Amino acid sequence: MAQKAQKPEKEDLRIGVYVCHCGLNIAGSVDCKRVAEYAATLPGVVIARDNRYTCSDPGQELIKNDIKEFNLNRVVIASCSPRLHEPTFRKTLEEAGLNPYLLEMANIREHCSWVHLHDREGATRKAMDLVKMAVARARYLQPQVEPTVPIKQAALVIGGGVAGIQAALDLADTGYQVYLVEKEPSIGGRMAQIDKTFPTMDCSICILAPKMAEAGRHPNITLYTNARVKEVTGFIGNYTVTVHQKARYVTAECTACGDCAKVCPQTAPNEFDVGLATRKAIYIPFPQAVPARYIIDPDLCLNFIHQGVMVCEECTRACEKKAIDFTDQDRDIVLEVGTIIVATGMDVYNPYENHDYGYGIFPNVITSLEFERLINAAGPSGGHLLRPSDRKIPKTVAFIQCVGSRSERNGAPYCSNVCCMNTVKDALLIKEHWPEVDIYVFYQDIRAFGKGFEALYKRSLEEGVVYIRGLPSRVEETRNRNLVIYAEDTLLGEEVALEADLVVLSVGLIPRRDRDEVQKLVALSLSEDGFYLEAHPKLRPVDTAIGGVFLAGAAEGPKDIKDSVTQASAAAARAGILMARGEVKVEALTPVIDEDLCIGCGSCARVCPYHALAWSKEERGVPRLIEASCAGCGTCSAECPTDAITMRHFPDASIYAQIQALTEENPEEKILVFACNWCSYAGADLAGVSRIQYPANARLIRTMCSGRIDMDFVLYALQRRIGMVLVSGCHLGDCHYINANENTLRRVKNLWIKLERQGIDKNRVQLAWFSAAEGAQFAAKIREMAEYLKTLSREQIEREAERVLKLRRRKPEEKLLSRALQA
Amino acid sequence: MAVRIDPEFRRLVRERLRDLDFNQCYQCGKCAASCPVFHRSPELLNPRKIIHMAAIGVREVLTQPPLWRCTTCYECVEQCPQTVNFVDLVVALRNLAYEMGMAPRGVQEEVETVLKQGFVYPLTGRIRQVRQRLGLPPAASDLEGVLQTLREVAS
Amino acid sequence: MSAHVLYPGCLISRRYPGFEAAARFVAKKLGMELVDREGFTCCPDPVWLRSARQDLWLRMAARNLAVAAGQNGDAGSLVALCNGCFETLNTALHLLKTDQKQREQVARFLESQGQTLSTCLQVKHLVQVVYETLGPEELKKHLVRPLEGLTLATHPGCHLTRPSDIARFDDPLNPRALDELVEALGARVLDYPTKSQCCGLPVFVTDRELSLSLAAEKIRAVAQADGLVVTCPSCFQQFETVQMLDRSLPRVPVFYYFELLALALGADPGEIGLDQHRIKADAVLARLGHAKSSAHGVSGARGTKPN
Repeated sequence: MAQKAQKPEKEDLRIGVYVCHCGLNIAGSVDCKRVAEYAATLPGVVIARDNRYTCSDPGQELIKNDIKEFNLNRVVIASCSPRLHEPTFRKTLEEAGLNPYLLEMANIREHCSWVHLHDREGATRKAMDLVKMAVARARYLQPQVEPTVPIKQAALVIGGGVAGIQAALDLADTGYQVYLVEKEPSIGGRMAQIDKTFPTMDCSICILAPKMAEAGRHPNITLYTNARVKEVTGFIGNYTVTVHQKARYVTAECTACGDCAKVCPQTAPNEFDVGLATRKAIYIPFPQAVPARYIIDPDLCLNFIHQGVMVCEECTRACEKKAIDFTDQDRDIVLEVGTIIVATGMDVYNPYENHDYGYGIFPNVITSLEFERLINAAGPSGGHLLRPSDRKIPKTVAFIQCVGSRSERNGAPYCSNVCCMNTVKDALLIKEHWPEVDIYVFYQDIRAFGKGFEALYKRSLEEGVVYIRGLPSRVEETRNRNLVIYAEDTLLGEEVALEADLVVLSVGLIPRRDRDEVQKLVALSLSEDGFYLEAHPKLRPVDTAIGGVFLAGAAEGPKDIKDSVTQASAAAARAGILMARGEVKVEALTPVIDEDLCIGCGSCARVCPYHALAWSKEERGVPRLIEASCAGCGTCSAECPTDAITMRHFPDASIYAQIQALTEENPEEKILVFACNWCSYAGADLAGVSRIQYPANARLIRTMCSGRIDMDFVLYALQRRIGMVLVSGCHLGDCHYINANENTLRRVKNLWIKLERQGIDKNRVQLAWFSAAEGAQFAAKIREMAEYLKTLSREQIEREAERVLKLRRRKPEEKLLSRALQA
Repeated sequence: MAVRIDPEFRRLVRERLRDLDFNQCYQCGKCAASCPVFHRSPELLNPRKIIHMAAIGVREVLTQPPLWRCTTCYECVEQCPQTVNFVDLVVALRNLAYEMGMAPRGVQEEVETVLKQGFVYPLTGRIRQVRQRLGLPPAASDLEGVLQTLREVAS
Repeated sequence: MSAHVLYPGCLISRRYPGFEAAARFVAKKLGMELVDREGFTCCPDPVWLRSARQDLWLRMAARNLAVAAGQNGDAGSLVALCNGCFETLNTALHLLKTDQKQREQVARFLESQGQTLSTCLQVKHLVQVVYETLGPEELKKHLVRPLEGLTLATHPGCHLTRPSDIARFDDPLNPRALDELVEALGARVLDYPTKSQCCGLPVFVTDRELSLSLAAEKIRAVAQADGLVVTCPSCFQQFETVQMLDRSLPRVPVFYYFELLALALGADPGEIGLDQHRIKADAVLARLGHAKSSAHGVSGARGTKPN
């Protein structure tokens, strides 16, 4: 509903400022006492203090007492990132009877003390500026009431590997309805392909199959196999999900007797056996598949190849149950869920592209996944370790570690976590069946860090497995298709050569090749290694930045079965907590439309990524806000030509006030950075956590989305003689508000054209995208801009400030601002 | 030239040294760090490398001089975190080398001496006299019977 | 004290008979009964014979153990005077107790020699016997001529304490027993960093330069001492040899521990063959009040204490 925008009442501002030492984390490079003394001189500040730990109980008590004693009505805390302690301090205010939205934080740790460790004066001056900006913004904060939304009592689990199965079972057992979506014809995932598991050497399918069956028959679990999630809309507790399920062409009548496959004339490599065996066009991926139902591969079945002309009816005739249905259709299923668990797993590195160690050229060089199928009793060779070239049992087997892992060249730079123990396990499996086989492992480090791992490694030594420290440089094939491996034995300092009959490449784990699909559906962030990013690496390891969305298993990073299961149960518990609560408060970030100022142009409705502003072309009236659909990005507010839209917690006036505050002293030396809450602000936080140093002249203003950034903010800053401006946000395609940042790109591009027309150096305004994992890139950008700033003269900045005036439209808020400042 | 890793030799070593747990070696290097010979110069003897060569199957371990430079002082044995008995390994490898005719000449001579007289050191007339002067019992006795059997065992 | 079968060893009986005389003197003075047996061979050498033919080495050692045990097999313990003999006989005993296969082979060999395998006796070094049954404090009570005023360095030798699971004596990496036994004689013990390091003798056969350099390093380390005390004739031989060959080294007389103990118990230097040393110990003996090259000890006179 449209309503009158709340304008700051002329009230008696009573602001309390608290400058935190954070032990020596801040006080080590910022003179906190000086900052607090400076804060006391700012207009409206009635009390300013510095203390060791503001977040501690005594620290919070101090604030509560001050609120009562000094009758404070705004609180500014200069400490760590609001991403860490804003909820803590909002609660403090609430407990003291103050509306939590009357809090403002100045981030003088991640954005200041930690990134200017060796520039005490610069860091202190920056901290003073950040406090000044926070005080200026605090003047425009208004009390807000957080709306409460109900949470749907159902969960979506994407991915039916062991993590997805575990998460689904845990939630289903708790009593929630679970939709488990798997893209393959059966659940089971990677674990179903593995022969034995480390470190206990349990049979993988033997321990997995009962869980698969349980998931298949659980009354609270609905299974969608051969299906993908197509669309996700909504917000925490209220997601609408569209699942696209492909036709199976075999009905639930199927008893998995297999008569159909016996008569099917078409064969293709079986994906489950990584192509080492074949299957028919009508097939079941593996005997323990859930659902235990055959499927027809339309890319292989003659009837589909001939575009629906029924040329072959072998299976139909063979099926006693009449379960074959060539009329089956793909379908979309719409689900309403409160929470989502992403358990999409990983892929394995494929050494074919680079022909690592001759893979793909020499038949007796295979991958560890192929090895799993070869040694599996249910695999293509019936569990006999036969080398591909002559189907003989090899006498000497060499494993090569870190193929596609810990490499800046091929595959990934990180450690894949599981390959060392997997090789130890594989070596022991060989020794178990064929003790006379010689086994050599070429490695750079053997990482046996988990419970029971070291003991398994030691057992392999006892069994005579030989470890050679050094990765081979090349593998040559002999005439009898043996392989000669050349490596430096770094423990001997000699070149060594080994002739082996079979070489197993221990391939690393990589992010799923189709990971972007799910990433874009729920706006997940990626960490530097390309896996999905968790909300906090230590304290919120299964949460994502998106409310109600959780991670389980290798989707978050390479991990073994035990860790995947552990994380799945954790994710289920986190989702369960949310659903058990039944409702959730959402931040009061939505806009308010001033009917007096609105001209009914509909620009806001056009840019809203959520279609949350109802407006019709015909009526051209004041748009109507659909509260439940709005996510609070503020793109509408930036787009409005008459500034009729006020964001509840990020009103224009507050941002102008911040800009004004930071440009009061030496603006020519400063860089203003606009950063979005989800990616670029978090990236700047990461630079701090990682202690990546950059010049102390950058000042950040946080908005929820870069789409909130009105280009007039930039122009105002230029008019106020700021040196440089950086507009930053999530990478295109990674926006947390679907695609709001595309508006940012459009606006900045337009601004550049305008600046050029006025003869203003457009390089003074820059645009950059940073993910939450790109702290180093953020710091590098600031360094680069600081260098450019050095080339600008004061005269140029002065000259261009005059020209900017021509580009600015008069802002009502600015009038308000000047009024407020006069007062 | 690349050193050839020889699974056959490794198997031979493993079979002959079945009771030794040298393949439990983690290659931490504590043996080398505690070895007085390594301390003089790493080229003279690196126990870690001897263990490694035996474990992976490098035949040269028998013929290269380092194997014959271990003083059997047991410093490394006392310190090994994996309780590898390097001296036992050295003894077993040397036995293997001796068997293959690769032992240094001096070693072969000593075996011959012991088999000939039953002692490493001969009993000289001067020593007989000193013994007598010091009131000690005579040191010699008839050992021909046992030495004969030992010679048979030896060949 | 109970009876011990004495195993003199070939290096002592055939090159350093004075050590045997000293040991017998000490045993007598301390009331320790030493029983002689007829028919011992070399222990044999724990380094090279074992390194070449472990099978022969074990057979010979087992035979010596059988000789020591005697007809009734009732000998409580065998006492060795040499670290090498101590190691060989103890290690062999350990192998015979723990390795079924080798034990059977060896038993057959002994039967062919009319002997019976015996693994019930204990193998001890005489130093160990003195330390364990008497101890430093008790030992002091027996002294008639304490070695006051001397500063001595000790070299316990590798195989007196190592391998520790077989030797079962003292701390293998920081041996203290010999120091205590030397201090008990009234001498001061020089502390030096390479105390537990090898004398180098075992590799004399295969790398003479290395062997001597190890010994020379130790001699240099103990240059300040009036003497170097050993418990093993091999170490003794090595430390004398290196000083004979390398004239640039400081002169440090080498003593077999029981020579010093015998002196302190009142023995005359000539009586225990101290005149047989290649690195003459006359200066030390003079400080202890023994006349130079005296065949019959001068009693009563004491050496002057150093300042």
